[in-house]
Amino acid sequence: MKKILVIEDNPMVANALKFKLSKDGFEIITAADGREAKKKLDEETFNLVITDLMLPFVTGTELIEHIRLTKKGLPVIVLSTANQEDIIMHAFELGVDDFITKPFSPNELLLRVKRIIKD
Amino acid sequence: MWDWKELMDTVMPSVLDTEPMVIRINFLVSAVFFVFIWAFVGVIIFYRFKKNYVRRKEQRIEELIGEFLNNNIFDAYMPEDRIRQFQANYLHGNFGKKIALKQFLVFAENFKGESVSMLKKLFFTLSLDKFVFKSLQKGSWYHKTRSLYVLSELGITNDEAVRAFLQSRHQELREQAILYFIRTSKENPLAFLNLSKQELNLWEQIYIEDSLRYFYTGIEPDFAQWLNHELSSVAIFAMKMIHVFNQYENIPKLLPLVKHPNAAIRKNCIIALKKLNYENLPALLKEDFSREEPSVQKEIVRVFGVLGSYEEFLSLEERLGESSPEIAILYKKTLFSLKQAD
Repeated sequence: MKKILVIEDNPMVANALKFKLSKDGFEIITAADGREAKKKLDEETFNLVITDLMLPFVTGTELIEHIRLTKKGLPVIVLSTANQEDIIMHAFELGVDDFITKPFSPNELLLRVKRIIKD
Repeated sequence: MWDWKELMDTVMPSVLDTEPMVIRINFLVSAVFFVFIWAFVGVIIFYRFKKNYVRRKEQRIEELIGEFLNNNIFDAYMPEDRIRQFQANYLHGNFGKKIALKQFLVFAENFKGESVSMLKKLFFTLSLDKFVFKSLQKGSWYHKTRSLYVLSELGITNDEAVRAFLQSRHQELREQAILYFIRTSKENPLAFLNLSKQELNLWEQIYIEDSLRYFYTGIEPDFAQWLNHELSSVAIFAMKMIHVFNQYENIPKLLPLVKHPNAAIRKNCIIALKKLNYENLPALLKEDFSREEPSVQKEIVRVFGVLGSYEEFLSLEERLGESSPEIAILYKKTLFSLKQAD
């Protein structure tokens, strides 16, 4: 079973993502902030990370930098309300595999997750 | 006046009978204060427990509603009788309904597409619309504000019920009503401006502009329809929007307003035409320059600085006449920069 780390500070959204992706056969681990996410990334192995950019303690971009340094090749999808071009460009410069802006369609997210994990 | 001696004799223990009056009064006040402090601490503890209890209950209902929404939106839609059962168990009072609204809003703010359609369906099935419209009619202004926000966020339309709030004396209510009309409209998001009877303040103008940029997804309105609005703030706002949204096709409609009797409208019209790079503007403004008000004169000098040539600008000097020193300085500065650019 493919394991996905979902980093989202809103528990409602995190639970909804967990529910939706679990239904399609993924194992979902959630983290409410960047610090918790870092800890989980160091302890476990994941096939994909879905992260928000605005996170408490450690920001999304700092977390992506950490992933790029410690887990080379781990795909990352950014799921954020930030829709300014410079933020999106910066995320891609850091090597994220996809960027989805909120509000988003859960079905679309699922398709993108499947495509990235298949690749 | 109080009869202290009688009071002392009644409430004081007999052991204090022999003490002087001042000691007895001191004792009585200390006793009252002691009782008051303990009562106060008791009330604080009671409210703390009550708050914790309410929070726990709220969390429980939040979890249940979250689970309920996830099941219905991302899995099979529940049969009507099970939904009714859930409604009867957890959404029978205002407390549960308020929590449910919060959860619905989180979903509506974060998701789109099929999920939001399902969310709307659930909203009606759980009769939350009735709760929202009831609070819109009878609630306090902050409840009405929340209800308006829910309607605009979920795209539930009832223009008749919302229209009256455009004239509300509460700024927040007016803003939410504006947001409602912008977000629920498909073709003319600013149609409500035709009904406005109050001038738009700066914050409302910023709010409308932001809502148009970030929330409205329909057809861009033709802002020229409000250029002759009876409220000058609406006309000025329309001018701003014409240049913000680059509506070059409205330049011919802006031109007559350069000679409008209201100086603020003339000034903003000049700014809009300048931002739209209307190149005949310096020639159009030159004639009336000396008769203009200082604020408009200043704007005309700026127009020449951006759209005029050095020679054209020199012809303005003879018209400066008795202009204020501020305009004379601006003229010299602009002249200098034009000379350098030439």
